Amino acid sequence: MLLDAATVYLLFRLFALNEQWPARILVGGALLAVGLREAALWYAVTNTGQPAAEYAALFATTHAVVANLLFVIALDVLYATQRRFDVLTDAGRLTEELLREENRDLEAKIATSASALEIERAEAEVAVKKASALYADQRTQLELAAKLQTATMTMCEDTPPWSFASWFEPANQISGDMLRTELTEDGAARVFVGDAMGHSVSSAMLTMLVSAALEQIELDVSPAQALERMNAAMNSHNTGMYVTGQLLLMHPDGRVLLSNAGHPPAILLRADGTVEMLGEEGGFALGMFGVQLSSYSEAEVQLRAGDLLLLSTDGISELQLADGSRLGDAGLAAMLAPVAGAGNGPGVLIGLLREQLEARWRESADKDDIAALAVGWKVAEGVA
Amino acid sequence: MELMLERASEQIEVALKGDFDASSTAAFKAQLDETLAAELASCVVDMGGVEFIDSSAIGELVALFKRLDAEGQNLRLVNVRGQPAEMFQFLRIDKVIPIEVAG
Repeated sequence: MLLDAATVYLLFRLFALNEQWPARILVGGALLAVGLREAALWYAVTNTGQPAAEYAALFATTHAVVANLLFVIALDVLYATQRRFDVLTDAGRLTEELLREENRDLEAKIATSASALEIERAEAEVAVKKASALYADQRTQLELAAKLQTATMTMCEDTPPWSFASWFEPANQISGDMLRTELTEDGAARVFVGDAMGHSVSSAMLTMLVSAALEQIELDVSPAQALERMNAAMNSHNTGMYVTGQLLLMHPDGRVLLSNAGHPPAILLRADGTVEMLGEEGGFALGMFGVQLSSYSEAEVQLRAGDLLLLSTDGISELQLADGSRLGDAGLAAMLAPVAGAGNGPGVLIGLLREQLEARWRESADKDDIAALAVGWKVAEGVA
Repeated sequence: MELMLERASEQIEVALKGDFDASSTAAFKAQLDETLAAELASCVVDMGGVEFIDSSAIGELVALFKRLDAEGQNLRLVNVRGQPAEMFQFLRIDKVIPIEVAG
C-alpha cells in the first residue's frame, strides 16, 4: 500500500512540477526504479519462486522510493519558498516601479505647478505695476483736482476793517468743504462757508458747482436771495446731492446780514467776552428739495470793534472726542470762549482751534473734511 | 451699521442700528434698491438704534423719499432721537419727510 501511495504521489508531482526539470528527472528516476524493481520481482517470483528475495527487494525499493519522496518534498518546500521569494521580489520590483512612476508624476506636477506659479507671479507683478501706475495717475489727477478746487475758493487778503484766518483740511486730497471770501468795491465782505454731502470726488465737484453759482450772483445781493438763486441752480442740475452753507454779507460799518442753508451756526465771540450763535434757524440745504421750498430767512447782527466771527463745517462740530461723544456746536463755542474779549485776532482763534482739535482729527478713523474761517472786524493793527 | 429689512403686508419695514454714515450708505441703498425693484411699496425706517447720522446718510434718506414720492409711495422715519432728530429738525427735513421722534 505504501508503495502504491508513493507511486501515485510521485506521478502527481511529476506532472505538477512545471518547469522544475531537476525535480522531474529525480521523480521520473524514482518511478523508473520502482518499475524496474517491480519487473524484477515479478520475474523472480514467477521464475525462481524465492519469496525471501522478493521481500528484500521490496524493502529496498520502498526505501528508495521513500528517500526520493522526501527529497521531492524538500524540493517542493524549496520551490515554494523560491516562489514566495520571487513573488516578494516581484512585488518589491513592482512597488519600486510604481514609486518611480509616482515620483516622475510628482516631479512633472511640481514642474507644472512651478511653471504656473511663475506665470501667476509674472501676471501679479504686471497687475501690481498697472495698479501702481493707476494709483500714481489718480493721485496726480487728485492733486490737480485739489489745485483746481483751491483756485475756485477765492480768499481775500486782510483789508481794513477785515482780517481773516482759515483752516482748511481735506479728509482726503480733495474736499467736500469750501470757503470763499470776496470784497466789494465799497469795502463790504461776502463770506461763504459750504459743505457738500459726503467727502468724495463728487462732493468736491459739487463745491465747484456751488462756487460757480455764487460767482454768478452780484456781490450786493442779499444773502437770503443769493441762497435762493444758488438753490435754484443746484436743483436745475438735478445731481441728487445737496450742499449746506452759510452766506454772510458784512458791511464795512460792521452790519452783518446772514442766511443759513442747513449749515452749523456761526459763532460770534464778542469783544466784551460774550459768545453768541448766529444762524441757528437753518433753512433747507441747497439742492436738497425743489425750488418750491427755497425760501431762506435772513438775520442781521451788528459787530463791535474787536469782535471775532467763526464759520466752520460739521467736520469740526461732529468730531468725535476721546470719550466717544461729539464736540457739538455748544462744545465748540465753549472751547473758543477764552479767546473772546482778550483782544485777539482771527489768527489766534484758528490757532486755538487747531491746537485743541487737529491732533484728535488726524487720528480719527472717520474724519470728515474741515473748513473754518475766522473773521475779525476792526482788530487792532499788529494783532494776529 | 446693522440693517434689518422686512416686507410687511403693505409696506417695507427697515430697522437700523449703529452709526448711519458714509460707510453704510452703499449697503443701505443696495438693499432698498433690491427690495423696491421686486415690488414698490411705502417704507418705514425705524431709527431707534441710530445714534449718529452724517450728511451722506441724510442724502440717502432724502433720495429715497424723492424716489418713493415720485411713485406715489411714502417714507416715514420713526423712533428718531438724539443727534439724528436734531439734524432732521435743523435741516428742516421734518417739514417734508414725516418724522416721528421717540417719546
